[in-house]
Amino acid sequence: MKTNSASTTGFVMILLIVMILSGCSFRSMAVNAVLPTLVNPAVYLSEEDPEVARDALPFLLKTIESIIDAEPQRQDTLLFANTGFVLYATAFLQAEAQLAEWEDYARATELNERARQMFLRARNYGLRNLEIDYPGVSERLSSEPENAVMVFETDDVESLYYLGGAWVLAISLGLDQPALVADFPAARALLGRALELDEDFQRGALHAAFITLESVGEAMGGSNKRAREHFKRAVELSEGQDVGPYLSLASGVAVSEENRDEFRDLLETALAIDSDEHPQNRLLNLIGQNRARVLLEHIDDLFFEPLNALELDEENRQ
Amino acid sequence: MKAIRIVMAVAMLFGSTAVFAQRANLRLGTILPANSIWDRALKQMASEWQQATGGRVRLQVRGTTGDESTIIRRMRLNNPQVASLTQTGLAEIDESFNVFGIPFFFESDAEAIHVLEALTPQLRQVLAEKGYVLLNWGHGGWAHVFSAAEVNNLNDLRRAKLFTSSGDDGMVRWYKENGFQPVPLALTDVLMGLNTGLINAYPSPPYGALVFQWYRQTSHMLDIPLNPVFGATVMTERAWARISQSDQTILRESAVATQDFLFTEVPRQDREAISEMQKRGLNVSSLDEASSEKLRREAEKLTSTWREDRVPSAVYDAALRARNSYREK
Repeated sequence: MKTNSASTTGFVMILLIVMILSGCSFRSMAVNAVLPTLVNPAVYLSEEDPEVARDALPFLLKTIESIIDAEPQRQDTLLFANTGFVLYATAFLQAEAQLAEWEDYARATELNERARQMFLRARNYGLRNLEIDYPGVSERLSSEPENAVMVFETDDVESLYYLGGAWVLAISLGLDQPALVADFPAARALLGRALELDEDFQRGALHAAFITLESVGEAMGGSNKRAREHFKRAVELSEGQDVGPYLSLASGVAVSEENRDEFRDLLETALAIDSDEHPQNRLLNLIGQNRARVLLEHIDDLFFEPLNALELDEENRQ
Repeated sequence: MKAIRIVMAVAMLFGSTAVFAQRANLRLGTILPANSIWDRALKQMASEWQQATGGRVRLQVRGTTGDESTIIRRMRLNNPQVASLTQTGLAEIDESFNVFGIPFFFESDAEAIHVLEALTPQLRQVLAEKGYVLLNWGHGGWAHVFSAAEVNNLNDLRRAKLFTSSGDDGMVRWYKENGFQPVPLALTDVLMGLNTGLINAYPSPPYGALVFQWYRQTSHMLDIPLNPVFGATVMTERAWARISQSDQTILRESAVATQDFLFTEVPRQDREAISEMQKRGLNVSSLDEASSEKLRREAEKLTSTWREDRVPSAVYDAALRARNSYREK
């Protein structure tokens, strides 16, 4: 026994020396073993109780940040940090702010500010991720965005989607910050390139993003017509089972066109989607349906009465 | 006993009328974009109105991508009851507001604010005659000339294909009479106009040139402010009359605080916008004092026809007096 124990100790010592000499560590061994399980967004996106995802994500994100701290060049963790912070800020902070803004503006402002900071954090991880394969790309994105994105390839689409998404969302909550607004062309170019490379990525997720991007108003280069085309394609690719496209077209286009009937129809269609049908999008569908319900409750605040009805009322009043 | 019941019923009736008269659920229409500095300031004001009046006055800020003409048409029907309008919208209510659009008439923010304060009683009265109550002034920054080729004087500007808002025929006529090449377009068509070469110059506050990305087609900005872009928040007299005097005071105080915020923060936002655009290739040309003075003198000759043509003479004269008295200080 004593001999066995001595030889085991000797083996461990040798292994340790070999590992130290080869630059390996227990920590990275552990990370390599656990990481593929940890950085699996599907586990979160299929969650049926949003509160569970809300409570679990911060711990995971801090763990991921610790790993990045130890291994700053790991692209899988950088991408997950980008994805995870976008998910947390969109699904929980921004969604809660959208509910609060009807009654408690101070609370909505506080949540939106937290969301904006988190989108920026996500963007920074996304940029670090791309910098590993394309050194200097952050700088080029800022100075000549349309040319800078031409280097990306199909394998980059996931990274482009989450980076572009984080950036656009940060800008949408920071229109009072010129330094952020100035990079809108970069964010748009990233998503545009991703769409060009893989238009059916994640069952039409890029088309869904472009519904919002095209409904920014014509003065900013948007187009409701193009937003409708992206909507049609997003619905086709998701087989009508994602709430996102309906919500985006309703709040972006139907509201700006003062089309109350279409707004109601779109949101009612979104509410009729069975979130268990496609578990991979269950969490976002459940959260989107919550928002659809609130928007329908506030339909009278979102739409003015038609002008001709008002004019008729006025004539009767006189 | 019966008499007491009647007295109580009358008291309840009057009481409930009084309560009814003091409660107001208002809506504010604006074309200012959501999450912009203006939208946030208005929502903050709405939140203060609700809190400070104990919920008696509620204001829902409702942005629209439509045009201001529709908002004004709706306001005449008291829905929305409140609007935050740009200078274009105000000029549609009354052309007195064109006074702030006179090119190169004002030299600085302080000078323009001095004139604005001097004209406020007169402009408040103009609005009152049209059925509106002035709640506060808004600040949209200072329009500057952005152009594809460098512009250092009025002759350079005459060579440019210059955007001007469609629908303002008087402005188009004035430009043409003075040798400029105006191209009337809707705001929504400016980007297309720049991309296709239909226009190659436009007046805009720096933040506008940045947020609409117009500056990417026009790499020059003349660092001589063209005119301040003032706006205003107004309420229909019909809605205002239903609010108690004490609540009216609360609303006005909050609206003035919003004005103070915008008059500080919007110029800061414009300075940051210029700096960001410079990082991305915008060239800012400054003029020496003599050239700048020459440009202003020449412009003043041309814009003297605005008196009566585009701005009622009483308002034009009052503005000129206030401006000159400020310069003499």
